[in-house]
Amino acid sequence: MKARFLWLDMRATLGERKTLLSVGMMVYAVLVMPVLVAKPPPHVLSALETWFGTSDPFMLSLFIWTDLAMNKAICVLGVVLAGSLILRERETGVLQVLLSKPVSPASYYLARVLSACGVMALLYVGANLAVAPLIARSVPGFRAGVFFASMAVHLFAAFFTVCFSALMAVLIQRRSLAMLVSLLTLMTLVGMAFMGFYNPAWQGISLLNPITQGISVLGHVDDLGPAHVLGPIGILLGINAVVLALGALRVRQLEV
Amino acid sequence: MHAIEIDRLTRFYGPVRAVDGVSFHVEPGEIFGFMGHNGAGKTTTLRMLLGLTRPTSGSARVLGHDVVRESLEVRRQCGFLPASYALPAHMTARQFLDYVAAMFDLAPEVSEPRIASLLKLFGLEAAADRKLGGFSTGMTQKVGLAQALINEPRILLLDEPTSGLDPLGRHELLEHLRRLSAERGVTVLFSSHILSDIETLCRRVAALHQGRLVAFGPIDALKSEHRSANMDELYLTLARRAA
Repeated sequence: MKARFLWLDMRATLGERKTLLSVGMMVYAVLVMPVLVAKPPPHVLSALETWFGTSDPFMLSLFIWTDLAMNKAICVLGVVLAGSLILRERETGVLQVLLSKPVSPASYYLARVLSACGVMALLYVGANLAVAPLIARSVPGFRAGVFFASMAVHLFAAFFTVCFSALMAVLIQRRSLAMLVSLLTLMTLVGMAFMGFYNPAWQGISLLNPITQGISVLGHVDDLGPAHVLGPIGILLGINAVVLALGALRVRQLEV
Repeated sequence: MHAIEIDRLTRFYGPVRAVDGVSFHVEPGEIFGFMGHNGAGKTTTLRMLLGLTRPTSGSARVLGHDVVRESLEVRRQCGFLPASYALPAHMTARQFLDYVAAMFDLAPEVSEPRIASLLKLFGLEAAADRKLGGFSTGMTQKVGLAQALINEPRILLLDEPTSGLDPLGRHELLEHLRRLSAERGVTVLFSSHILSDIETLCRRVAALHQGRLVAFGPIDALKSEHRSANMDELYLTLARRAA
C-alpha cells in the first residue's frame, strides 16, 4: 500500500463527521483542564497522595491530564475512529467498489487502521500542544520535557485503542456490538491502569495492560530516563503490531 | 486466448446453489451480454471473476490469470461497477476518483489528467468538487462508471449498469461502451435483466437461470434455435424450459 493512498485516506477521514466529533471532544478536554487543575476533586488529591506519595502540583496536573482527560478521550476516540472500520463500508456497499481494485482486504484493512492512527496522532498531538501552555501558566514548576515524554508514551496507548477497536470490528462483524465491546474493554483497561501503583503486588500483571504501559512515565517523573520512555513505547509497538496482524488475518477471510 | 474463460464455476451459500457449474468464454474486445432475472447468479459470477467471492468449485481465468490465485492481477486489469453500491458520502467526486487512482498506484501526473477527462466525459465537471452524499442516482452511477475506467481497464465488468439511469443517460452509456470496445478493444461483460440493452449492444450472450447456464452463443443463433422473435421471447422460452 502506497503512502499516497494512506495520505488520501487520512485526508478523507479528517473530513468525516466522526472526526469533527473527536475534535470537539479534544477541545472540551483542553478547555476544562485549567478548571480542574485550579480546583481538583478531593478524590483525585487523595489518590495522588496514596498512590504516588506526593502533592506536587505538576504531578497533579500530569495525573489529571493523563487519567481524567486523555485516558477517557483515547478510549472514545479509538472506538469512534476505528470501531466500525470495514463494517460500515460493507453495509453501505462502498467496500465492494474499493475491494475490486488491486488491493487485498488485509492491505486495505491495514491502510485504514494506520490512517485512523494518523488521525488519532494529529488530534492527540494537537490537544497536547494546546493544553501544555495552559497548564504551564497555571501550574508552578511545570516540566515540559517530562510532560511531553509522558504524553509521547501515552500516544502509543492511543494507537492501541484504535488497533483494538478495529480488531473488534472485524472479529465481531456487527457494528453496534463491536463498538460496545471495544468501549467496555478499553474502559475496563483504563479503570485498571493504575492498579500497580495502588497495589504493588499487582504491578507485574498490570504491565500486561497496554494502558498501564501508556501511563508508566507517571511512576518515573523524578528519575525519568530514556528507558522509561523507549521501553513502554517498544512494548506498545509490539502489542499494536500483534493486534493489527490479528485483524489483518481475520480480514483475509472476508468476502464482500 | 479468451479474455474471460469460465469453467464449471460453482458457488454454494450453505444449501443454496447461487452458481452451478457455469461455463462460457468471452472473446477479447467483444461486448458480451450476461442475462438473467434477479437472483439468477450473475452478480455472484462477476464477484467470483474479481476474486471478491471464492468459488466452491470450478475455475475461471481473466486475461489468462486465475481468479483465485492471481486476483490482484485480475483486478489491476479490470474495471468493475457493482449493481448495488454506494460511494463515500463525505468525499467529493474528484477526491474519490483520486482515491481510487491511488489504489492502482497511479502517480498524480497520470491520474489528474485522467480524472479531468473522465469528469468531462461523464459531464461531471460542475459537480466534481461537491460531496458524493448529495448526488442523484444518475450522477452516482456516472461516478461509479468513472471509477471503473480510472485504470483504463482491458476488461469491464458491469453489473446492471443502466439501472437508475434515465433514457438519455442509458443511451449515452451504451454508446460509450460501444466506443470503448471499438476504439480501445476493451472487453465488456455486461450483466443486465433489461434485455433490450443487451440486444442493442451485444452479439453474444450467456443466460443464467437459477444459477445454471441455460444458453450461450450468438443472439441471432439462439433466437432462431428457440424460434423467438425478440429477446424477451427468447429469455422466457429459455427460463420456462429450464424450469
